[in-house]
Amino acid sequence: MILLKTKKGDILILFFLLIALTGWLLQNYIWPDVEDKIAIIEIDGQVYQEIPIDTSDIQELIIDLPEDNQIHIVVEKDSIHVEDASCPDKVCIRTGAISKPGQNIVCLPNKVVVFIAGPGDSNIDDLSF
Amino acid sequence: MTKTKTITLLGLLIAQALALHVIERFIPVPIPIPGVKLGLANIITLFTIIILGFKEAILVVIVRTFLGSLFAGGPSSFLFSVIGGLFSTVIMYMLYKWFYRFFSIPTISIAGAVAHNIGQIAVASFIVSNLNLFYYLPALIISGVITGFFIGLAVQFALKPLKIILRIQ
Repeated sequence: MILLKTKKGDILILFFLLIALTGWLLQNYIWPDVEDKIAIIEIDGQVYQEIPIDTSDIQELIIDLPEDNQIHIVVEKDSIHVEDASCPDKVCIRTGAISKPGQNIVCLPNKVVVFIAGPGDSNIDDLSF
Repeated sequence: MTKTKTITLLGLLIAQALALHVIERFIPVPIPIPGVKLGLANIITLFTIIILGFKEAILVVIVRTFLGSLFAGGPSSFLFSVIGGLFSTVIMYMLYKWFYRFFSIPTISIAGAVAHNIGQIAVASFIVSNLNLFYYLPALIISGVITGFFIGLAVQFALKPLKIILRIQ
């Protein structure tokens, strides 16, 4: 493996890993884990619905979106996931269920975001722009 | 290199980048985080930067992402991947052109992959106007380091034989 010669600047990799680690530690600070979590569904930057996920029973939401698109969201106890969506990439379905504050499901083609927030984050607009 | 040879090579590179771009969508990634991917087409981008130069690499990225979104994806995925791709190309070119003494090819590729992921998150959070998307940034940086390393190795190993085949230098 002579081809794997390293150079001085390759320490940049460590720098990246350090940033990632810091980010990870910051996650708990920016999005602390709390009781009474709510799931916020946003469409095109506007809050569409807020659902408490700690207590609620199974709920199914089918939301009609512009241009005949649909997104099918299922709320279970402590988690929320996208069951089906009429987008080409299906990233939102593959993301699976989310349950921790900060975690989010994005459907980019339909501009839908589902994310978890604590109860005190009703002024969540501070986080969005 | 003659002009004809450059044009022919560019056509080949774009075709290969497009093939990798499309094939990549069919390779399942075990980590269910939006944005995590192999970035196979980056092999061609980095190779183009080294062999041909900046303008050619930008051209390859734009044409590849445009055609790629026609084959699979759609208009929203074009904006998404073209900005990530251009950002990563600019970063890789600067590192290669001015700091080649300090960085090995895998590291340049890693920087490109990380830049690509950051660019994508920025575009995505702009499209949906929600900064919560940066939640996945640490995971995307880690995944960029891992995939970028192997992509860079692929370029490093391919470079010497390809230069001989193409009769460059």
